[in-house]
Amino acid sequence: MTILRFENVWKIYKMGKVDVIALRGVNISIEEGEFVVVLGPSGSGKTTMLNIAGGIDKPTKGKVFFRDMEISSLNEKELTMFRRRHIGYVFQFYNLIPTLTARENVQLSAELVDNPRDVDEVLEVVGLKHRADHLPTEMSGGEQQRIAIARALVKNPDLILCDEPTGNLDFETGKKVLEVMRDINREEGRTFLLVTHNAVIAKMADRVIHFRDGRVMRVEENPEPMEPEELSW
Amino acid sequence: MKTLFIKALRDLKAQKWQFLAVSFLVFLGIALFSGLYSSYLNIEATYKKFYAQTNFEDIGVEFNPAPIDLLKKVKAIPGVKAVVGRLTAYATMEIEGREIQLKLVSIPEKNSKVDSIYLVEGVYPKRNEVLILKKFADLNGISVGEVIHVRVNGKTYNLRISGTAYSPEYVLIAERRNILTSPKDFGIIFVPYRLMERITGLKGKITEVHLTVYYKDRIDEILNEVKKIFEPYGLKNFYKREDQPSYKLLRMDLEGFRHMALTFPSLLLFIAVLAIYILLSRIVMEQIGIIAVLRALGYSKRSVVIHYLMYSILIGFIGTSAGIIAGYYISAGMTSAYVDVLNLPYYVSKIYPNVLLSSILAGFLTPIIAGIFTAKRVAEIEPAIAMRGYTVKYRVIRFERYLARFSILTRLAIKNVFRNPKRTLYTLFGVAMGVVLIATSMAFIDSVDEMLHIQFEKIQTFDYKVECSNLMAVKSLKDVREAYPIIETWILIERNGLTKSSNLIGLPSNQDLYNIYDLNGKRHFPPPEGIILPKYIAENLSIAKGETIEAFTKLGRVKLKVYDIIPQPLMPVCYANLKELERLGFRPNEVIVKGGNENELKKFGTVVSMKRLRRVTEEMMSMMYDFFVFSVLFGASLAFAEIFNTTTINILERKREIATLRMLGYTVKEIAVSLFIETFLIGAFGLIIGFPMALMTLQGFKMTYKSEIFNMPFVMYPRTYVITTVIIIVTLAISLVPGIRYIAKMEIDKVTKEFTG
Ligand SMILES: Nc1ncnc2c1ncn2[C@@H]1O[C@H](COP(=O)(O)OP(=O)(O)OP(=O)(O)O)[C@@H](O)[C@H]1O
Ligand SMILES: [Mg+2]
Repeated sequence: MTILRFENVWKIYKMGKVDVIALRGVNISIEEGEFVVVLGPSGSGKTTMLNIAGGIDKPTKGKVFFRDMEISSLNEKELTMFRRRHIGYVFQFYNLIPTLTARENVQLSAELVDNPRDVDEVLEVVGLKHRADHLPTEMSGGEQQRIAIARALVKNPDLILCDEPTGNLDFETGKKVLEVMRDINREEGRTFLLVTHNAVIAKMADRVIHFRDGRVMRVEENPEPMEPEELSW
Repeated sequence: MKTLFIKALRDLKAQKWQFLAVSFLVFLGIALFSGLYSSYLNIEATYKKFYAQTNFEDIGVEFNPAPIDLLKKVKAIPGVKAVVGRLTAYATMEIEGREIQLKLVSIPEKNSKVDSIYLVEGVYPKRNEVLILKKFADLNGISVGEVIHVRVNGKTYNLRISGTAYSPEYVLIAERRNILTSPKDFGIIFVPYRLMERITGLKGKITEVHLTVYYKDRIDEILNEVKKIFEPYGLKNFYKREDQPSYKLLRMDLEGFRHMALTFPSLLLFIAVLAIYILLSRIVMEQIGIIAVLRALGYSKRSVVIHYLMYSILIGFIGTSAGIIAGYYISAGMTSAYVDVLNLPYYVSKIYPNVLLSSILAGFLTPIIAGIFTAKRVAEIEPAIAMRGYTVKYRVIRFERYLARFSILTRLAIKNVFRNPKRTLYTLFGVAMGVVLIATSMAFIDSVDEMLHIQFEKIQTFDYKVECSNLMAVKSLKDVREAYPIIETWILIERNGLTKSSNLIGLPSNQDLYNIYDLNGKRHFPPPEGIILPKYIAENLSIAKGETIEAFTKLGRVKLKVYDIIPQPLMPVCYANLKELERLGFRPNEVIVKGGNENELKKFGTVVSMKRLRRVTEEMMSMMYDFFVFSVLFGASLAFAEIFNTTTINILERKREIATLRMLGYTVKEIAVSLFIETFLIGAFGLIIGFPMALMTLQGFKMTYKSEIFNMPFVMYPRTYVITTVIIIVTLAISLVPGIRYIAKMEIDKVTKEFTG
């Protein structure tokens, strides 16, 4: 079943007199339970696409469907509710609340939904239960990113969107984070859409969408995705 | 939501000093408002209760001696409820070597139904006994049963005190003879009428009537009837309750008090709004990323906005609850302190639900208003920022050319002043407000000093004033260097049915022991003809320069030309040339003396020593001093909270930048110097605009506290400029300390981590 579908999506930023065209008619569809990587050089429109997919930005033209719901026509309030129920975010800069402990950061997200997962269980999933009472500044980048994954996971999201989740991490740590994602994808069947300019990461995806200049250049199936442990960059 | 609340508490804890500083502003505002306004209501309730209990008069009329039988005529006027007739006399007594002024007031055989005596101790007097004002007795150690020796017109009377009492007519003693009467240095003695007849030698006569009426709306008619009865004997003064001198003075004082209870807290809360806004908008700016993440996670705009309003509510809660508690004590203390200088037997101290409610409302509204301004910015933050990161846009002013000769850190300091103009303006405003608060409080002290200076070094420069007409005899005393005769009498000016009473002073030309000054400090001289009228009388009665006016005096009706109209400092009076008054038939009744010896002068009559009067006045003022010292401290602490807040925020807001400087290898000291330069640049501008603002505020006080009875000269001495500047600079320096300590302790990696993740 298709969980996310872009139909001829355009995004144009008006910067005074110049228009910056970030997306030029994007068509994609993501299936339920897939692990999809979007690959493209800097400035190719990956983040823009992800933002639109997650309902924190709206397309200038075109339609976006989440399952049967057209999210491109939702208003601000409805978008908030959509994000709340269906989307988990993992950002490049982790974006944890510095004054809250790991557990509280996850709790913050759990409180948004009616049937959240158990906070400690989720921390267990990312392998950081023993650091639950630490503040973000007391953790490494990779650990912070895993907390961020737990924060996304605790809401039971249907779709997890990750923007350069390893962009700030060294190779070993990055791999560890990717492993956690892959496991969640496999064991829980959760859909992942991961954006990166690191071609190596694409090797672990079920499918790779190549982006350039705001357009989808080609889509590549990966019949035998690699395990994150096997990656090297 | 629970976790967001935890976050609010953590943020609060992380910035507890800033939050405390702004909560302190709310606290001060609420404490002062609830405290002062409740005590205002307490005092009002107190005297209302006392006036009701003692049947305070509706009408009073003073005149030259008239037969006591006329009281029956007054009583017969329809609508009159109760009447009392009265004789009064001024007297003196000696206490511990000091000569104390007294006023003797007759009372009927049985306590009257008008202006009733409120007996505190002892019994109502008979024959040779008298009652004495309770506070005066206490302050001078006079007790019931004691015999006092009172001098009236050169004769001494031994009077036994049968009790102490209060009277509604003397809640505040307002006597034309003295500018300020302290409860210790002016006594009221209540004397049975028969005894008073003997003392004054006015058998079967009265000089005042006081009455209550049944119908307040008929009061003018009744007053006219009473005036008609006594007009043939020469009216000296007449008034309705609201013009009764003591009542009026009390009312005016209370109005000033009420005014203060409203303006000071409003000013404070206004400053608090700004300070809170600065604090909150900094937090929001620092947390733009966090806000975006919250929104991306699915928190609604509303819940995020409410989260940030939480800070306001917490500030409001802390400030208001502490303020109300402190206000309660302020009110209790203030009421009793205020009543302490009034002649009242008790005071009412209550909690007023309306004041409480207004306090809560104002205390919460202040931070919430500030919060709403910030909430607008919170609502504008796009969740997409969470993905892209953000940079705060700063204005960079390019004037490298002019700055080239400064070190890079100095250059940075100067650029920082301009890079966030809004923030710089807030700090500037904060400093300016601090200047206003400190300088105006200090100016009150200056003004009191100026008042003493005007009174004793400019207007009345003589050493003694002797009540006698024998100039030659006084002059012949060997220590007397200079002596001049003067006339001091009363005058009641009438025009179109309106009247104003005042003192009339006749001064000889060619002397400079008793001088005439106007409000601007310009000296005037006794006019060749006519009189100099105080501006307030001229304005009230619409009298113009050069006109001829009609007035009652002790010589009956006279016509006088208005030679000049001047606004006068302190207690305004009418001035005339001694010769002019002599031509009208007045005789000199006092001699002013430079040099001389009090004991010798005493032989000629009652002596007023200016040195002593000054001391007494200064003593009185010392009470006010305490209040002003309190307000200087108050202003300084307020300025401190305000400046501390903006300055620390200015630094904390730049954590990352400063961390970068530290990483580059700049020392804490070098960065501190840069911050000093920046802060003092802003401080200097703040001082430059603060002082004119302070002068304007003072001008405002001048307008509000102008009264007929007393014109306070509001001035700002140079010392105030110096001290205020010093306080502000010290405050600025201290408020840099937490920021610099923070920089010194700063774990650079943590700071950068907080920002970059
Ligand atoms: N808010 C905005 N206003 C104007 N232009 C924008 C905005 N956001 C993105 N753009 C522009 O849109 C284009 C696509 O940006 P986007 O952030 O989607 O790229 P990206 O593929 O995520 O790049 P990177 O790998 O560097 O993160 C770029 O040219 C960018 O400058
Ligand atoms: Mg991007």
